Amino acid sequence: MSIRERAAQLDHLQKGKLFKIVVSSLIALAAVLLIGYALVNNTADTSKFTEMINELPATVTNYAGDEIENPQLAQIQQIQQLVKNAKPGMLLAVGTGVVSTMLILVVWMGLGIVYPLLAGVAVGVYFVLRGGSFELVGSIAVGMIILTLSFMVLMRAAGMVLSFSHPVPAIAKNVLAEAIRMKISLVFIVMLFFVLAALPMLLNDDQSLRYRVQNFLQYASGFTFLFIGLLVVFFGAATVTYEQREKVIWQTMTKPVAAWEYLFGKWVGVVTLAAILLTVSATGVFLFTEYLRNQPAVGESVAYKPSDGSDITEDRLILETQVLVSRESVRPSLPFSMNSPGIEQALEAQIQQERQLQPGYNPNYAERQALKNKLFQDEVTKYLSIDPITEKYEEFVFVGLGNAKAKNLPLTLRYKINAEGNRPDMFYILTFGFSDGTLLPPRRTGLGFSHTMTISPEFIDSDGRIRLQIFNGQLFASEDGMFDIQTNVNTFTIPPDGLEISYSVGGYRANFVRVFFVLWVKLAMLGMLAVWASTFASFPVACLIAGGLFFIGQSAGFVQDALPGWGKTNVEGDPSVYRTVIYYFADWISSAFKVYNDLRPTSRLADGRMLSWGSVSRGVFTLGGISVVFFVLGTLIFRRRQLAIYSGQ
Amino acid sequence: MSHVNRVRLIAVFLMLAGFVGSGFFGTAITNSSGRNELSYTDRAEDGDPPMVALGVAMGALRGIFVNYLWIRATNAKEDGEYYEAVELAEWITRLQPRLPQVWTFHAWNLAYNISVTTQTPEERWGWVNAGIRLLRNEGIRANPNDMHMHKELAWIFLHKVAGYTDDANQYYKRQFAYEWHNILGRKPMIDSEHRDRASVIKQYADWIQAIVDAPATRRGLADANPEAEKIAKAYESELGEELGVRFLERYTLYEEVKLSGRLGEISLKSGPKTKTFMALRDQLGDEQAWTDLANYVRQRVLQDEYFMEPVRMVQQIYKFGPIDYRLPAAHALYWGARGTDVGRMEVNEHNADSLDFVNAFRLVMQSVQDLWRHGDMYFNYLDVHEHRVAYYQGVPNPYFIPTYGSMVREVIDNSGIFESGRKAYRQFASGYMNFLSDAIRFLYRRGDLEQAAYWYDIGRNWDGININDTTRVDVWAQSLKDFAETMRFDSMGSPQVAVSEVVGALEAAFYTGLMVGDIDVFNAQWAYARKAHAYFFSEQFNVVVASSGNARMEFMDRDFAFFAGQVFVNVLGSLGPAEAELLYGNAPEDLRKYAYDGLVVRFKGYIDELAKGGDGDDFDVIFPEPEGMEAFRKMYQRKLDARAKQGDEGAIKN
Repeated sequence: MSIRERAAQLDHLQKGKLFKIVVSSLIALAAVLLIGYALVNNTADTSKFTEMINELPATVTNYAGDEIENPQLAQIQQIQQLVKNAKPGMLLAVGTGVVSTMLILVVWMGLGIVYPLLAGVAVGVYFVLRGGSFELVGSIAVGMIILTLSFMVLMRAAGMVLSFSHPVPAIAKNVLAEAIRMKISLVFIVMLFFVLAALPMLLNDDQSLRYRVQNFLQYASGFTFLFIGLLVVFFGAATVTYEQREKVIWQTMTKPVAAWEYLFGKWVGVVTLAAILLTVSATGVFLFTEYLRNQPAVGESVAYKPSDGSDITEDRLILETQVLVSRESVRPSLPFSMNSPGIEQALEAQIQQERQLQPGYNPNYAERQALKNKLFQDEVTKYLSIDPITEKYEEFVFVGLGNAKAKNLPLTLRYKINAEGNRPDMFYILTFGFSDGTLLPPRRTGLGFSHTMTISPEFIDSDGRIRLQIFNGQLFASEDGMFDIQTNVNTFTIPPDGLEISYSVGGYRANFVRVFFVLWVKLAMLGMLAVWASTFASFPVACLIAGGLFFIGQSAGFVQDALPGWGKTNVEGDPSVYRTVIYYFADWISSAFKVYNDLRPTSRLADGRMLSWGSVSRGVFTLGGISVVFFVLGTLIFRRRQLAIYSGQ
Repeated sequence: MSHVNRVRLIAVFLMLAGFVGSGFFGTAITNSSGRNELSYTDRAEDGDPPMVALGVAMGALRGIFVNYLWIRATNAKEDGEYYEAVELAEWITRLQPRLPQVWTFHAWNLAYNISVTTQTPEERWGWVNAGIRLLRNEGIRANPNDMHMHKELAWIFLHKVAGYTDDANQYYKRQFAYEWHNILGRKPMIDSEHRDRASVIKQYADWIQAIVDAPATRRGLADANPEAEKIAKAYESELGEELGVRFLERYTLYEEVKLSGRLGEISLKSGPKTKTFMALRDQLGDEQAWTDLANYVRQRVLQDEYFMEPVRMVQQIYKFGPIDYRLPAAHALYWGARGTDVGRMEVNEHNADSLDFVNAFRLVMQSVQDLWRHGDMYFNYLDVHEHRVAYYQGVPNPYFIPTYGSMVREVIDNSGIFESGRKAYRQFASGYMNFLSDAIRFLYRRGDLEQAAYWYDIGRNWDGININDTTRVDVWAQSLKDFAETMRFDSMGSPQVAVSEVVGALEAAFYTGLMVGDIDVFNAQWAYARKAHAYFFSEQFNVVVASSGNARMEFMDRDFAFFAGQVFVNVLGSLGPAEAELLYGNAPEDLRKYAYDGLVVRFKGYIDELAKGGDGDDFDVIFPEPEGMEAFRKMYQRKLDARAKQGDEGAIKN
């Protein structure tokens, strides 16, 4: 039998119904078994902690002679909970689910033999390249092949889903077919897959595990969004403008296809392509992140097992409490408000004082409010400043931590102090204390940048509050048993955003899904902008418009941060007209993208900050609304277009 | 004229105006950027670092992108997010490679600011190293003659690593010593008959000279020693690694393990590649070939990975003294001195007043001062390798006394009105007298009366002495003995004084007491050392957060007996067999227990070989095993383990 005949036979086999049913069943069975095994073994070994909990006494006597709950017991329980939350079986479970779904899809597409052969070729390529000392190239090649195969499967599946006899899905299906035909889209797809396959190789093994995870999450999701965003811009513009230029649109518009159906179909095709690419990328990012999580952190010989016999290493602790979580944060509440009697009295006193200099002084409402605001700000600054001589320490109260207490997971305290112009060579010693008398070891603190430390949820009282005392110096026990303080040189001030406690409200996995959903929503809006611009402009102009808006949206945050540096004066300090004009124009434009910018999904993912459903809803509502507006505009423009005149020019 | 022609004419006119304008402004901008050292190459050429090609490719967008990166880096730092710090620093410095302040800012940020945000010594060391690598491996390569960068790099070595302000400084010192011990191997064992300064310098210079003299290429190595090339090929094929730092690590580990007598034990615990290497070592036993290969690899590693010049290292040994390059102060000296050498070429009328020149010279002086105070270093390589809290001790190195003294005198002589003799008090003069006091006190304490008297003579006869304190004259008029006692009480709280007092007293106890059989001297010096040790720990010990059991100011081990035992071992290690026999024979049983196992490793083979040939007694006769060695070994291991376990916060005060 010739090779061609054998190939035809195999093709016939893989398209047969019996083959599909049998193979799908086998895949499903294997998947169920593997997933079941993964879920059963989904918890890291915590027997060591269980033993310690059983051995430790429930209460101990403190220095005052009182019986208190054993803090060490609480700490072990928290660490045990952290380790349980890691769920190492998730990698196997999700990976199995993804692979089996893909395989079943492949089988039902009639490619049940071809695709596994291609995957086998990929593995063979890897081993060949590895044998020739090209391991890096081999790894990247295998990664790209797997991503490409996954992409092709989902594209075909999407094509099948869009096989309805209606203009919108028909046009969308056509867009998907164009995507893998047009070079302009292929370039970005190839670049995306290359970057995703190469990124794991670029991670520095000498870095802490938590930094590698954060780097990977940041750059993988960031590059994914960037490349897909550029693809959406260029392809979204191309899919409409090319049809107009080459008169292909005549064939479409001569059929009973409304302008809105045409544009909506194009948009659906573009966002479906974006969704497929995001799904493939997100799966790869998620699986590799889970893989990284199960690597040894600094100080561990094996994941979750410190080599020095301690309970948990700093690297692992921070990874599990600050990075691979979904955190919310609270700032200290002020003991006074704008309308406190003290502020009012101070305002009246200031007005009286001013009247002594200007007898007729009588501020109007706006002036009073401005004065009151200034007095309030001064009081806040005073409250947040700790003098080493007269005050020595200050107490800060954090409220609303009842949920954190219930979860019983370590909290993260972030603090930042300013002093002496934030000289880079100065360090202050700070001591932290809590209302139950616990004092933490003094911390050497740099000026002008944030430090973090992990604290126990045991410090939260029954009202959900933490009372934190910060001492301006090193507290120590003197020989007579009393506490004394070796203060720092000067007063330091905590900036308004310089003190916060954050706590985990959930795992990072749900946050991960929300983040990539928001990314898709952003891409959907971008796609609509590209389609809208294509209704009236040529390809290069449409790309410029959509691309420009994309660039402005992405750089809005940077512009807002850079504007104070730009200022409204020249180098000599004199007011400058053109600087002022640019300042306000840039401020206005970047502020217009505030909602788009404030979502910051990739940063939140890398920092372990919660992207709440509330934020997601706001984002969907706002960006969705913008998309609708541009869709309506585009439809109105498109209906008025004289396509027969324009096309071909 | 038709409309089209009119448009063409206007366009041509505008084009010509544009050309003229760009020519005029372009020249002015180029001149300004060159004057302000902002110039950048205009085209990428073969051999340029990638950073240059990247900057050329970005063109005018480079400025905006750099701004974006700076803002991102600043915001990340303020928010306490450091995962991108190294990458952002690398990107920014790649895009602005010619601005020294950019490099030094980021190196400082990594080594100082970010490092203190973590409480784990390993991570802190990672950040400090990241800052060092940024400057040494990339910044100075891009700006090889910039004195500012050399000075900053020297400062990080001297202040952050060699200094005592960082809580984890003891960890840094051990890791640094371990790294450079791997690269350079053991420091020379000073021949007891050649202890004069010139001979010691020669021995240290020869240590590095062997690396200088190694072949520069593989072909050269093969020609010089074909067996070495054979070993290299065998290593590469059997271990699958290229010759480099890993080779040196394995080579040094083997040497140290062999010396410790634990070859069998360590090889059982080792991974497959280490076992393969050990087997290779045994198989291909040509020691000279291994040495030649190691020196070749050392040369390559020094030049290609650390960007240091072995020739310059030798020159500095001859110039400054017997530098142990396993010390961070040695590297501070290397880079600081290199900066002053190459920076001389960059002096012009615009920067002659720059403080960088003053500061760079100061760093050279301070490095030499550190080498005088702590330049004789002993540490336990295997403890660091096996991740235990290792013994590490830096003690005064008297060979640097003449160097430092002459440097201070040079500064005084060249300081003009600032050190004018007409002033009653001058800072550098005061510093010089303090230095002489320390030196004299240390030399006296360790029993080197001849040198102590020599420097005492210089001090009391120096015509530059400050006259503001009339009691000073009385102090210097005392006898040498009384002078040394006075100095001791005045400055005992200072860590380096305490170390030098304790070590000096112990060394005197061994050299002038035990070695000559004078038990009274031994007992007196021993008692004094114990008191000084206890006094220091009651005054200066400080509990810290990071680095656990190694308190920030802990310049020596807290356990006096343990510390004295280690000093005894070090002293014995520097002696020949005959002197070691004398010292060992007169030592109390407790001290002998510390030294016995090391003596076995060092001398047993050699002495037994001589005894077989009828030359002298067996090792066991000369160095009898003390009673209770098994129990001692267990106790010693428990002490080592206890030090390893001092890893939790809240190490208690001594």
